[in-house]
Parts: sequence; structure tokens; C-alpha cells
Amino acid sequence: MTTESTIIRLVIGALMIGSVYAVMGMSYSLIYKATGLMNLAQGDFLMLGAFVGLTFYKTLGLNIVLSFILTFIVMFALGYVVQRYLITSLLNKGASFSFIILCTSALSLAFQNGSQIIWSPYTLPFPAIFDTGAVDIFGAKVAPENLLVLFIAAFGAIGLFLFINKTKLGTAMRASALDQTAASSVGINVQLTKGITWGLSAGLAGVVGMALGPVYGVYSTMGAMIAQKAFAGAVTGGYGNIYGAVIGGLFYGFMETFVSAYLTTTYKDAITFAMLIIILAISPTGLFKEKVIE
Amino acid sequence: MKAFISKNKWTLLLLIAATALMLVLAQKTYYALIIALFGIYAIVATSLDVLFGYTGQISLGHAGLFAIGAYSSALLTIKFGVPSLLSLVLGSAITALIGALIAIPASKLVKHFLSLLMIAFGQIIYLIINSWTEVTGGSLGIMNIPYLNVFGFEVNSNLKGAIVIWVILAIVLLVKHRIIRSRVGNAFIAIRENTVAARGLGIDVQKYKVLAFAVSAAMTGLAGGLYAFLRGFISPETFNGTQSVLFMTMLLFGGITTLAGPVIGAIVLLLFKEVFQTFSTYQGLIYALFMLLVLFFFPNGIIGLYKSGKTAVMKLLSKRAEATRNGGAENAEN
Amino acid sequence: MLKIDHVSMVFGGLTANNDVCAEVHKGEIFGLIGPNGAGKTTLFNVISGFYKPTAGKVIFNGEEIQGKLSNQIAQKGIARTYQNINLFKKMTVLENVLVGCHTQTRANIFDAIFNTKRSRAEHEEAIRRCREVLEFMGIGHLEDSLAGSLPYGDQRRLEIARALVSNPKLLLLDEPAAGMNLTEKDILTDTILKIRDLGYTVLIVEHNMKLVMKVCDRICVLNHGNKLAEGTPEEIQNNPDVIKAYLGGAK
Repeated sequence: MTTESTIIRLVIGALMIGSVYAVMGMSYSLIYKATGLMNLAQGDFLMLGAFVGLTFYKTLGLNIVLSFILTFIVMFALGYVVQRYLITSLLNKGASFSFIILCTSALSLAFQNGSQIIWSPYTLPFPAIFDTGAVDIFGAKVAPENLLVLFIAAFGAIGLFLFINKTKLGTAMRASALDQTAASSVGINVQLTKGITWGLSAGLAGVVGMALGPVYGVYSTMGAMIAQKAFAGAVTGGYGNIYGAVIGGLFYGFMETFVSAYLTTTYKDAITFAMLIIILAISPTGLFKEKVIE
Repeated sequence: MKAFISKNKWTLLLLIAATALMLVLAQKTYYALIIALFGIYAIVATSLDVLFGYTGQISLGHAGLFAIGAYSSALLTIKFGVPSLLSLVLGSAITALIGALIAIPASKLVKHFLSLLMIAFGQIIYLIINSWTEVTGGSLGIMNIPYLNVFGFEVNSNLKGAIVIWVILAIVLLVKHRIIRSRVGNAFIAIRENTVAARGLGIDVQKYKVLAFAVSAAMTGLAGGLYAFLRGFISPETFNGTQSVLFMTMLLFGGITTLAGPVIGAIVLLLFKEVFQTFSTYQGLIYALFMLLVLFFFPNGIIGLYKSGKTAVMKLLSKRAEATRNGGAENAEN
Repeated sequence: MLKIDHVSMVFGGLTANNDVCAEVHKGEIFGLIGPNGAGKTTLFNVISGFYKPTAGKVIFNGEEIQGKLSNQIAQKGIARTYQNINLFKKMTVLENVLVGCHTQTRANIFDAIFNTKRSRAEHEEAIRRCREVLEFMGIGHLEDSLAGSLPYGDQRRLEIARALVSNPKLLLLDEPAAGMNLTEKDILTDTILKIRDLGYTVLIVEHNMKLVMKVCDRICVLNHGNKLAEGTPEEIQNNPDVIKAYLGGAK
């Protein structure tokens, strides 16, 4: 394999994982914008999506497109339920912000352990989606499943962007993020909007998780690391800023891919986390300013 | 002193009974080990209470600090031949220093950023002890850590370990109590309650947050060192991210901002783990359930339940006493 | 003692204070009044370090303090209360006032751990002083109650006590009478005068004209961020500009 094709392969790999970070980072930002909260179980929505998708596609033998759609619906429902029935009732009890964070961290633990019990404590293989083998792109051989991840993530990011900016519900979402009282006074159902926000971000994470299945296999902790890096990306780009999340996510995708190709695979994750800490230390507002300091 | 005893007589009695029971049980080396571990985790939960309960700073990365204490104490003794007791103290100091360093960015952040920063911190430490094989032994960990030697008293059994650890726990509790009651403790609580007002009264919020992190890290590092010397063996799996969540669960379950809460929380959760070892597949689910129960139904933990139960019983008793008295008066009239 | 020197504060495109000058002398009660949105609280926040002014200087005892952090300003001897009460709700009344002693005490973490003689003596002295101030404010009997459980008027009094206990060179009161009934207002009026008689310097923002006219030695009137007038209560009451502003302000 020539150097050029190696680099092309790496770039495609970086784009794939970077776009996953980007769309996950967007979902963090979305939740933060609309509800001012933080969901530590975001990565586990991705993981659950992969298991649910595997169940529809492999166990029930459904068509791949249908499996994706059903996974989105199931995960949307789960995200919606978590927000409406857990988070909201905790908030109604006057719980502090820290308690909400701890609640989502408990959920994360429950989801990971639950998935081990329901499905498997080991990595499950996700059958290939396409009949064709590797595709040739400028001399580099790339599995079509990797391109599918890139496609789904990019599609999700663009879809989310259009949804937020062009639809009535998206406007309602942005309005309730800006001023709840004002939003409800013009007839926006703020609670419903928040539930939908969580549902959307869970659904999106789930679909991306399912797409990642054939690439990495499906296992209970597959989401945690991805979500933490996506968060790093969102912070680097400027938390709460949707474009920032995309740029930051792609940045970490490229950094990680090239660091592990040319420097070290052992410490690639440590480097990402160290970057996150450094950025939080020197410029906690990221590239696009948002309030993160007390 | 007398007033203190009579006011807390039931608590004190319970404490004495528990101590006696533990001493009897500790004759068996397996039980002694569990009791020693109670003490270690109680120190960690106590340290988290200083940070989270009193100062309001969330940390889901304390397993990282626990690891730093354990690895630095063990390595100082093994690689540099530092006397074990000194290693324990130095390990705690190193952890405090690193805790303070991570606190400098952390102290500026709002809660959800803080929580992820601490998760990232825990992850980095976990990755380092897993990968830096030449120093930390990688995933195999460090074996044959010598016994702790306290001024010639070699802690070479679990029973001795349990005793030493519980004495240290008592000291840690005393230190916590004194800090909380002091000017420093008042500043911690003020920051938790209302950062704006605290600042307006001249409290250097960032300095005190860093201080709270350092105190908490010192205690957790101490617990880590004790763990290394007690077990004689450490490996990364003891210090993963789930462990950080478990620490937090211990604290919440026992009850924040109390002396006994974190101790009880640590004991209950560890007991649970030991008794239901057959259900270890469900461990994560069970911890999550514990945490959610606390968050939703008794936010002040077991101690909160105990206190409200006590008040309810007191009320009932005083009512009954009054009723008898009134009843007696009526009878006399008749 | 406090000199506000051409201070301007602009938020985005909104000018809250425009080139305001004023001077507070030692030992007086200085009032800051004006219709809603005149920029009184903004000026307060600039003085106490919550905002950094867009332009101008704040000089306190010959030292420029604009742009310093609020805890540094508190250390220099400026204590304040808040329009929207900012108490430590889950701490007791006594503990709240103890936090107020922060700038007056020195005990550090090691004093705390080793419970040194110095820190014990300091703690006892602080408690004695806190009780004295609570008594002075008329809430001494409430020292063990939780601050959040107090009635509104007592919460306001507690905030003043908490500020007063630090022995401030300058005491800033932000609408201390808001939400109080008539009797409470009368008591407060007396208390503020007594505070002045103890030798404190007070800067007060207040809507209640009766109280302001009764306690203030001098008054500064702000309108739309600009200084409109300054003078004794009599001068202000007879100033045509002020009358116009107030009547115009009440649409």
C-alpha cells in the first residue's frame, strides 16, 4: 500500500470517527441549550442503540432501513421517558444540579449493566450490512460500513441543524432555551419540547451507535469513551454552540487517528483527555464563547 | 461533655456495640479484611463529603486520586526503599498536590463541566496505570508490597490492619469535624450555599475550592496508601471509573454533611457487595438502584432517615406521655 | 472616602450608568435614588466589584478599586446587602453572621486541624461579636434558626447584621426596606441612624422616599443612567428637575 493511500485511508477513518464525535457533541449541546442540563448517559444511548439495532437486524431479521428507523423510534422514546419521568420529577422535588448529574450517572451504570444482562457481557459481532467488500477510494480500500457511519453521522448532523433552524418545533426549542416563561406565555409547551429534545438526542445517538456496530462490534461500554471524547470536542469548539461541536469533534477525530497511526496507540485516549483538561484550564469557553464559569 | 454523652447516648451505645462486634468478628481473618476495607472506603467517602457535601463540588474522578495514593505509596516503598509509614504520608501529600493542581481549572467551572473534567482526570490516571508498564506493572499491577510498619509495629495481619485503619479513620473524622466547624469550613459551606454572597463577604472562592480539593485528595490518597499496604497487591481494576461512581453512591446513601453518614454508607454498600457476591453480574444495576433510591426518596441518606425516624418516635413518645398525664388528671377528678 | 469618578457602565448597547460622579464622605449616610431603571443597582455592583465599569474610576480611601474582584473589595472594607436577599439559607442565623467575620479572622486550615489556642480564642471572640451585632439588629433570639426559614423582614435584618459584623469602612445597603411593612420600616429607619451614630459610613439605595429623606445626609439622584442632582434632602425635594423626572417616570 502506498503512503498516499495510507493517508487517504486515515483521513476517511478520521472523518468517520470525527463525524461520530461531532454528532454526539451536537446532542450534548442540544440538551444543554434546551434544558441547561448535562446527561452523563448520552454515550449509553449510543450503546443501547447498537444493541437494539442488532436485535432488529440480526435477531428479528428485519430490513436494514427498517431496523434503523425502529432503532431511532425506540431510542427516541427512551430519551423522552428519561427526561419526562425521571429528570423532571427529580427537578420538581427541588433537586440541585449535582443531583441531576448523579442521576444520569446512575442511569449510565444501570444501562451498561442492564445491557450486559439482557444481551451479553461480551462483544457481539454485527453482521455486515453490504454484500460488497472493500470499496476503492483513490487507491485506498475502505469498508462500506465505515462510509455508512460517516453518511449517517453527517446526515444526522445536517438533519439536526435543519430541524433546529427550519422547523416550528426547532424554533420552539430555541425559544424555550432562551426564556422558558416567555416561551410558555406564547403557547409553547416547554415540558414537551424538553422531552422531545432528549428524545431526539437519544434517537440520534442510538442510530449512530447502530451504524458503528459493524465497525467495532457491539459491547456495553462502547458508548462511554465515545461520549467523553465528543464532549471534549464540544468543549473545544465552544460548548452549547452547534457548529463548535462539529469542528471540535472532527478535530479530535483527526488528532486521535493520526496520533495512533504515527505516535502512540497506548496513550491516544490519555492525550485527548489531557487536551480537554488543558482547554478547560486555559480557555473554558472554547472557540465560540459560552458561559461555563461561575 | 456530660451533656454531649446524654444527648447522644444511643448513638454512643450503638458505636460501642458495633466496635465490640467488629472486634469479635475480626478474629476471623476474612472478616478482619472486610472490616479493614470498611475503614478504607469510609475514609474515601468522608473525603468526598468535604468536597461534595460541604463545598458543593462534584467529583466523579476520585478513583483516580485513590489510585495515585495507592501507587505512589507502594512505589516509594518498593522502588526507593522509603519506610512504609513515610511512604503512606508522602503518598497522601502527593495526592493532595495533584488534587490541588487539577482543582485549579476545576474550581472555575460550573457543575457539569466540573463533573466531566473529573471523569477525564479519572480516565487519564486509569489509562496511565494501565499502560505505563515499566513503572506501574500495567494491567498486572504491583505485587508483594511490604507490610506497613508503624514505629516498629508491623501490620502483618488483617486484624492488625483493621485496628490501625480504624484508628486512622477516627483521626480523619476528627480532622473533618474540626475543619467543618472552623472558619475554613464556614467558607466551604458558604460557597456551596451562595457563591455570590460568599465572594461579597471577602471569601476567595477559588482559593477555598482548591483547598477543599486538596483536603479531600489528601484523605483519599491516604486511603489509597492504606489499601496498598493492607492488600499487598494493587491493579488498575480497583481504580476504574465505576469505582468513582461507587464512592459517590456510598456518600449519598449514608447521608451527606454528617460524620457518620459516609462511614455507614461505605459499610452498607461494601457489605452488600460481599453478601450478594453471587449476584455480582447485577452489581452495576444494584448500585444504580441504590443511588436512584437516595436521589428520589431520601436525599439525606440513611442518616436522614434515622434522624427523621428518631424525631417521629420522640414526638410519639412525648404525646403518649402527655396523654397518660392528662388521663391521670382526669382520673383524679373523677 | 469613596469617590465615583466619571463612571460609565454599558451592557451591549444599553447604557446603565453614564459618566456618573459622586463622593461619599466619612461618617455620613449617602442616598442614591432615582426611578426604576435609573442605574442605581448597577452603580452599586460596580462599587462592590460585581461589574467592571466600562469607563471611569472608583476610588476608595485613595486607592483605585474599579475592576477588582468582589472578595478583594470586601477585604478592603466595603460590605453590602442585596436587593434580592442573598443569604446562606441552610446555615443558621449565627453561622451566617460568622461567615460575615471572614475578613476579620485569620484561622487557616492548619489552625482548624490542630485546633490551636489562637484559633479557639479568635472563634470565641467572633461568636461574641456576632451575638452583639445580632442583638443590635434585634434578631439575637433567632441565632439557631435556619436563615431560609426566617420571615422576610428578619432576613433583611440578618443581611445587614452579616455585613455589619465585618466592621466595614463603608456599608452598602441595596433597598433594605423592600418588602417590609410600616412598623418594620420605622424600626429600620432607627437602626440605620444608629449605625451611622456608631461611626459607620453608609451608602443606601432605596425607593421609599420617607425613609431616604429621614436618614440621608446627602442624596444623589440618577435618571436614565445620568446624574440628575445632588444635595441635602431639602434641596432634592425642591429641585424642579427631580420633580419632573419622578412625575415623568410615573407614566
